[in-house]
Amino acid sequence: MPGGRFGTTDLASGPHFLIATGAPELSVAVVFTLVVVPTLRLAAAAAMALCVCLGWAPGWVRKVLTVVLPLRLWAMVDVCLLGALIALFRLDASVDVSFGPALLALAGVSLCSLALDAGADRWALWERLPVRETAFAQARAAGPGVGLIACRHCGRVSKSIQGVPCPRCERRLTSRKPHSVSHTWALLLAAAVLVLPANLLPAITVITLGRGEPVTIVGGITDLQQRGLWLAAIIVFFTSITIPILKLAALSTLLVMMRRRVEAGLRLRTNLFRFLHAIIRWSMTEIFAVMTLVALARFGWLTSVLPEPGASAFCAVVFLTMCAADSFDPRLMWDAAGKNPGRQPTGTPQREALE
Amino acid sequence: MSQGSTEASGGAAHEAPADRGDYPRARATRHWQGWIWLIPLAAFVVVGYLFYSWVTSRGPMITISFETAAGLSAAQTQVKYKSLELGTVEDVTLSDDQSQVVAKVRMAARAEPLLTDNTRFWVVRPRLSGGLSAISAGLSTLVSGAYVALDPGAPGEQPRRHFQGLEAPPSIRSGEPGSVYTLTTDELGQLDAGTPIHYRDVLVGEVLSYELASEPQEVRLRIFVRHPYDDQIVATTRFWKESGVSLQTSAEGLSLEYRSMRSLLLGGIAFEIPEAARSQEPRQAESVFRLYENRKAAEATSYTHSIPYVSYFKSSADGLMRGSEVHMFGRPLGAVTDVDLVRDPRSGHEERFAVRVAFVLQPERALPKAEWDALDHEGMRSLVENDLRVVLKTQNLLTGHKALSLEYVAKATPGALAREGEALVLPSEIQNLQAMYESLAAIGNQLRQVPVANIAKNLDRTLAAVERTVDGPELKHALASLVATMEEAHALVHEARSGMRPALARLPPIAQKLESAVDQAEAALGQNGYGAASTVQGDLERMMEQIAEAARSLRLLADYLQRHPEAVLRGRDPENP
Repeated sequence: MPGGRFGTTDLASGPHFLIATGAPELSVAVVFTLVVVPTLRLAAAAAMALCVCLGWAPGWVRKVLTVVLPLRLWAMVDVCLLGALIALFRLDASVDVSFGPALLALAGVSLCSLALDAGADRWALWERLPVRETAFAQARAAGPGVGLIACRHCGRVSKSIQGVPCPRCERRLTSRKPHSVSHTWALLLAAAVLVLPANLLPAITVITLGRGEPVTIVGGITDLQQRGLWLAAIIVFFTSITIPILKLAALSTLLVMMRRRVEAGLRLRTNLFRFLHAIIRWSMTEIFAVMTLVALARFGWLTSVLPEPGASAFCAVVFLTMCAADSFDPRLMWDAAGKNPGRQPTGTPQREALE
Repeated sequence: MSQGSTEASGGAAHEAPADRGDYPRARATRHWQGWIWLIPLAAFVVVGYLFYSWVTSRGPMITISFETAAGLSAAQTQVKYKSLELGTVEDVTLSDDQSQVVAKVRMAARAEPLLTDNTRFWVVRPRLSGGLSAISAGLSTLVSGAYVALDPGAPGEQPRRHFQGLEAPPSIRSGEPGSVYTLTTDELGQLDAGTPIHYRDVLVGEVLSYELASEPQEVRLRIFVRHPYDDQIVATTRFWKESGVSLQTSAEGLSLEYRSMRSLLLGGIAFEIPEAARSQEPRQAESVFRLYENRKAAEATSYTHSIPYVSYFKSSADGLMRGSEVHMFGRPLGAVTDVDLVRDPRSGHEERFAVRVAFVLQPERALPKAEWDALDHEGMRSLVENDLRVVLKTQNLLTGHKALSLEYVAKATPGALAREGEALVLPSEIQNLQAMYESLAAIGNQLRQVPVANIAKNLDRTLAAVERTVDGPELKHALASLVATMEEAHALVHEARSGMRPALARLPPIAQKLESAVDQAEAALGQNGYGAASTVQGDLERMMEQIAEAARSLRLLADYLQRHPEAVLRGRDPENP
């Protein structure tokens, strides 16, 4: 690099500088999504492959696998790459950026985990693990209340009753996600409350040449747009504004329609939910962009970026909506609409699901 | 909502109490599921806290009136006190009577006790000025844009919300010990409010403001010097403008003075105390000092003895200017203070113009204290009687700078001291190439006095007569050579008018030729034996005498020039012919 101030950023420096600039909560979120979850997922996938080869797995391993493997949407290396790209767009005017080998490696990690999701079918792997039929389950097989239940975790369909451990993954069987509606409402409410500070409070302070002013997320978008970076502006607008708001509105609508037992558009609503559930993670783009800016642009009064409470609030909104979506069970919509024989639409769908 | 599951688990527990998988289910479903509502509750708490802290950190809204909104922009300009951000300008509007701009400022809550009667606000606009801090801070104010500075002043009695902003920074910031002085100068130059003041390159203060005074026409600068450096401001302290680089051509040649980068960028003011004045009492604050253009000028005025003199020159004073040096035997003794073109005021010269050169002699520059009175008016009188004169000297051939030199001139034109106001008029002496031109002209005049034309006319007439009477080949030959020699002499005189040197070289051989021609002619005449009374003889003899005289005079001149070649330059010395 020819002269000038320069700094290098690696995966650890992002969280490090987030802590140093007074945003430990962002640091935790970033470490969780970039380091903890991807590592756990890769380790779990490897462990599972090993177990399949050995044809044996202890019970605790199975339980851990049921927790870790579904965390697919929480591994956000690919989102981070987009966020870094947006950050580079923002810095472009004043900073010369060159890419180190670790960025390629990070892209490789992202591609690998994408390939893992696409290629390795976790249901198929589960299939290959031996099933331990417990005596109780066998004994209960013909008792009252017995029906076919698909395990949420490993996908095995058992002839069993609610609450009995799955003979394969040893997690309790539930035909629907427990407490789905109340959890979803609670998380949605929390997210909706936090939307206000997320958009009203400044997300970052960019100090350029000693003069800095806090910028909200919307301010960052207009800044990008004013500099002619339309693509980046549109991406940030969609990921930071459209998707979270849409998600909140859509989930609330789905819940309300479910309560009212609306039958129309069930297929559409289900697809909409799946789509939103898949893309909500991209809202973290803004957070990763903030992290990259904080870590990259630290040249004293020349250029430096500080995270502001708005970013933390926004991160919380994204996490809460993701959790809300995770706790929402779209099958309840069909139950409520009376589309599932044997599941009478009575009271709240939740109560019925647990009967 | 947990009713159903409890029932289900109860049934299972009775049927197979030994089964391990049964109990956890029963326990798990007894968990209170309402904990999930703690999350939105926490969100509410967080948002409530954020809102609360926002409300409580908002201080009062104040308004400040300014003459101009330059540098003020809504939502950007900050109010700072000791570099601490205390508020943000939220809106800039015109006042009701349209005469001022009013900035609405949302202050921070902690600024509340600072908003009193004595609080002053002014806009600090970006400028390349370090103020009292280092250059980097100066650069940062340049790029960080304007801000509104706050000075709380003494603890006030009444809290206030409406303020009249100052147009210039207040002269003394509260809580900063030091003194304020006034400097006067002819031109502001690159000085500005905030220009640093250095004492021996140490930053000790800054320019607070400047104004144009009408009577007398000058620029007045208010400066602030921090304590304890204000102790150095005594009556004889000299201030001068400091510039980063000064390139000066003076009699010493080209001098490039390079100071610090800071003063290059910002300019500056420096001061110094004369050695003798170290023990003086510090001057009171608010005193007025003169600000000199540079260190030299400041130092020159620090000589306590300055004796004014005037000299008149009737030759070119090109290269002499204010500040040129006055020497005596190469030692600086003073400086030229003024060079004017005037009508010569001395009696007998009224119809002419002359260059009036005023200068001061400062004996402190070179003389020991005991000899100082030698240069005052009484001492000078005796020096002039001993032929001390003022001479214009070219000091630097390259730049053409001249200086005045006090010299003893041998055979000086008699001159007397005259008084002109406070100054004494010193007689001057011209010493330059002009004198050489004059002596060359004198030689030319002498040569012209040789009656060459007369001789040639006579010669022609004689020759005609000789030709008529005599036809001897020897005589003819002799006369021809005489004619040739005469022509040569003629050409010589012609040449002498245009340039002397080749003519001088040829003078002796010409004289010789003349003589030999006369000899030949005499011999020829003698051979032919003309009668002594014949007219030809008489004419010839007269001519010969004239020629001989011419030849003699030429030879004499040649001899003289050989012995005194400097005569060409100086003219003939009348006492030593």
